[in-house]
Amino acid sequence: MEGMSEMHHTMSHMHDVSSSGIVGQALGFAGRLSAELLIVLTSAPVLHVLAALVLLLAIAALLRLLLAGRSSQA
Amino acid sequence: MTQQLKRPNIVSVIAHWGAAWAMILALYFGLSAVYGNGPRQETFAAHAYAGLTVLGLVVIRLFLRTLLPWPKEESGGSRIPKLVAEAMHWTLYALMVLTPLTGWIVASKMGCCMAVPGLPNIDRLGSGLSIGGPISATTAYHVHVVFVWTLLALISLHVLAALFHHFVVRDTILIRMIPVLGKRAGATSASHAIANSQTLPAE
Repeated sequence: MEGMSEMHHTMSHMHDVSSSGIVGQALGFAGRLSAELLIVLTSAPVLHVLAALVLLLAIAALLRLLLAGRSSQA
Repeated sequence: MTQQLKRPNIVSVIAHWGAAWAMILALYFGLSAVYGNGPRQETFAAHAYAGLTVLGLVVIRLFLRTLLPWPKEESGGSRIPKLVAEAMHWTLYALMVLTPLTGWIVASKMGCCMAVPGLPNIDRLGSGLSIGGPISATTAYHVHVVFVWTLLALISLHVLAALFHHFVVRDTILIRMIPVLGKRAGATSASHAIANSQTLPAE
């Protein structure tokens, strides 16, 4: 009986360790990924290229407005 | 009885399929560079050129999508699928910009051992601007890999959604993106319209 209790204790301890291990690993992975994503999105090369892209799209939007204005006049 | 098919501009359609092929090539060369036994340097360079082609084509598509009106599908139905589709498209655009960009950062940081001929160092592009922080090759590589698998998952959903529209909803969303079907588009869209009028309740 004592052996059974000891085994049950060991098994439940193993279960606790494995479940918290998986959850811990998942949380750790998500945390690391979020941090790395933040570093990438706020890094100088990415911000430079995104700024250039926003400028290009602003020019396209301006051209669209100009073209629409010209076609409505004609 | 034919129905006028509203197509996007032809340059956007060509850029769409060009980016699709470039992504297939980038994936093939990327996996070959990491897991293959061939010449790693040349394969890595081919992967970089294919990725930059994707970046160039998606910039052209974004420019044209802002400049020219995009044809709207005139089908009724719930707003939620339309919102999901819109969110999916903009996520795909974001990933198609950020995935090559993170790869470019990796290639620039590893110039010592994985130099790509003709590829400028990304750090020098905006050296006049003092925005943003530093980034390591390892961080950029981790995020690049996560972006690639996310992109592949979303592209699979995109393809499944296009097939669902063509074979189940029977609308013209897939047909208008395939110029080869131009001659058949009128007849097909008419047949789809007839099928829809028979299956959908009158509004």
